Amino acid sequence: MGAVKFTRAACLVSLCLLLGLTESAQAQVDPGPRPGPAGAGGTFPTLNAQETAFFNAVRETFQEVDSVSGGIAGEDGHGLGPTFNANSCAACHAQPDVGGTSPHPRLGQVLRRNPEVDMATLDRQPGQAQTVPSFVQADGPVREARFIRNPDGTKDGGVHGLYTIAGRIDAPGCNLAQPDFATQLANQNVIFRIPTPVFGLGLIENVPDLALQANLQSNHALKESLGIKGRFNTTGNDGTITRFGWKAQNKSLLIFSTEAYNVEQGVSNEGFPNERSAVAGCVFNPTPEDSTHIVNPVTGGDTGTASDMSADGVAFAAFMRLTAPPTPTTSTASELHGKALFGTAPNPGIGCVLCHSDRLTTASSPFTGMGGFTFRPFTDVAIHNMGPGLADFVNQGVAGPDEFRTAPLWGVGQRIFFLHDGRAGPGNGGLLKAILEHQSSDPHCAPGQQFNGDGVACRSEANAVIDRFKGLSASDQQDILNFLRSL
Amino acid sequence: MPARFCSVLILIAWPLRVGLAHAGERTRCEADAEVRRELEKTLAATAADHATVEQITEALPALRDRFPGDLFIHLRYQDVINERGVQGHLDRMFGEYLALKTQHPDDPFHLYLFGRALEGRMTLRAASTMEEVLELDPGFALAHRTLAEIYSSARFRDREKARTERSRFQEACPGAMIPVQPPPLPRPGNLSGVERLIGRDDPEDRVAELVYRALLQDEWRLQRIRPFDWYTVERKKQAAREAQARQWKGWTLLVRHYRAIRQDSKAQALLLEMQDRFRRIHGDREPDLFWSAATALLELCAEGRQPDTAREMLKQIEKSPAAKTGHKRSAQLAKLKSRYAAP
Repeated sequence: MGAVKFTRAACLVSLCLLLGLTESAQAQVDPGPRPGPAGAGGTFPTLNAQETAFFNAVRETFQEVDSVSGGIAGEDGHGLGPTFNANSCAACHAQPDVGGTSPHPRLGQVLRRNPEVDMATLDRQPGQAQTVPSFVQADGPVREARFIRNPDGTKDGGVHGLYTIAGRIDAPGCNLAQPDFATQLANQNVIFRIPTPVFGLGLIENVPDLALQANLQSNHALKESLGIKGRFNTTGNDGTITRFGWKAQNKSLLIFSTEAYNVEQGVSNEGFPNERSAVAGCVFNPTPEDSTHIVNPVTGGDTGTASDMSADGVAFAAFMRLTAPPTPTTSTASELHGKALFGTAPNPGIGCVLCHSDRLTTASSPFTGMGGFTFRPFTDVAIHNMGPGLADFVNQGVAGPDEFRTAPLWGVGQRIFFLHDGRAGPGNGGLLKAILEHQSSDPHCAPGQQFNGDGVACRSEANAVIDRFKGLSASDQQDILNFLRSL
Repeated sequence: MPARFCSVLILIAWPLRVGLAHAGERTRCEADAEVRRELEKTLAATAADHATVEQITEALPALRDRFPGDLFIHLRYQDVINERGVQGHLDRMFGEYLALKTQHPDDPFHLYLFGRALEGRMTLRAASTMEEVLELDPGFALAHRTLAEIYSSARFRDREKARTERSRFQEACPGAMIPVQPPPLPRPGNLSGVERLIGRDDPEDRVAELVYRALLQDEWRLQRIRPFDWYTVERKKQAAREAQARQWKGWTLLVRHYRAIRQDSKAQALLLEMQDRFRRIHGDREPDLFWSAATALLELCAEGRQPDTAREMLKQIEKSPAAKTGHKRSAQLAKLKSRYAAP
């Protein structure tokens, strides 16, 4: 009897092993975030000594932690709230180093849980903890929440802070309630955005519009045959191309940083000088809370270095502008083959590179070595219709409800969460899911119909390229994944 | 023709009427008995500690409607906001009186209220506004009172001017009081009662409650200091440093308490948070704060049987500029070394 049992058990184990082995031999998997040192986070390598010193100082400012009025030990920045998502830029821009994106408690370089979870209890009075929204988890992506519509049915699209300063020890008397996310989720009125890494953004900022337009026009016939169009988001002020944010809605790094400072941390500043949710009992500081230092905060004098005298928002922009781009490690046969399949400028492979452009060049620059520099961001900075699968129904600038900027893929090798809302991550296939999510169509669209009733494209511009990806062998798909993890 | 005549009459009579409505204010030195009674009643109804400044200031506009143009109701409203409001309330009040002044140009009543809304935040401008009021209406006694308050304050003291303004006010209003500015500050947070409760297992976690109440009290005190120019920048910094030193002390007591009642995970979480905050403190900028934080952490690590971390902390303390700030520090450092340095 015992022998029979053993034989059955052994059979079962053998079968499982066989299936397991077969599965691992055939199925392509995201290898996960690349281990080893962070491939980003340092200064642009050719900067001179003064520029490097400035970079190091503004990198410190990027890590500053804000409390409401700067009165809490170890949190001497001020201006937090009335609503906020986190208390420091570097809290969310963390992985694989300062300036990156969402950390994870068990994966990647920094091994830290989602900082948004801690904001519910940090510096709160006993019994005054706020609720961690259900979409924020310790091992999930950092998320900001936007409501699609206002209660009266008009378009909203704005960020609603996860927390308020009510109940914090440094906000006596403030009674501002948290938004009712549970009801908004039940009404399917919430969309999410995750932080984008900021490495190398000074290069993207300094590519001339003409170069971007020429890049978008390149391979025109091939793009057309694959259904790829793309256009640029632009500013209504001077008509130039806007480049930063998930929908390329922000013109410059200064606007990008000052907007985030106001929206994510609630710090009013010279770019966005008015408090959001400025309920009288919850406004504790003169506005703007962050401004150019007329008095040197370190020495008390009226002169100082650029970093001493700059407003935080300017310092954050400078940090982003002067960071080095991520350093790829592409070297193995699999990665090099994956690169060829992904496509390069002269050889488009299966077509990924047609939008994730691998070569852009900056204009002349005041910063040493950053002018005329060719770099590999894997983005065309253009916005594309991604169809109903990715649509978030938020319009920003000229970007419509399903239009997103081609996400730059440099540094993707050490990222943990993907797509604008962080829907792809370690629990569900990671990069592979992110690739497949590029494909979607609206089954209710009639043949030839371009957009559905919500203004969403009936088909994602990426559909044909994803068909090509799906048509690859499992090992070819794996090579592409390996290549991406080498970036 | 009669209609035009009527319009002309209205044009002439309106400013006259407005002027007459406030003409009595310049000679009045205190609120009418009825207004005083109603003010007391209204404020008593909202006097509880938990009453928010919004609840109090919402009650006053009803009184203003009942006694339109009564200066003393406005003054009480301003006082409540100055004594209990935060920056947002102060900003709102400033906006209200700026709007009233704009609607009533060259009216000393509204100019006075506007100037008084500036007192304590842009005090020198408040003083110059009072001078403008007196130019428009030399009999506006309360403007002298406000000037006397300003020139008697520690920050803007001018004995000569204070004496002059006081005597002018008392000439117009014999026996009337001149308030002392700034009003007294709330007491600092008090941690003295916490130590004797450490180690008592209490389901209501009174130790945490007391610690956080003390920290909240400190922040409230800072709120009475930060927005006002009654205090110098150095005084504001000093108040913040004192509050932060108490924060380190409060957190230290809490860690000890959680350890004593065997809530080690809570103790450890708070200790980690303290270490994280400590990393962000620049010893060279705030030596006192660095010293409070570093010594607190050193002792907690040693008590928690983390000798390596304690020794590391000791090294940081030795190297810090804070350790070189006087004999007292040297003596304290020697004591720490004898207790915690490696054998």
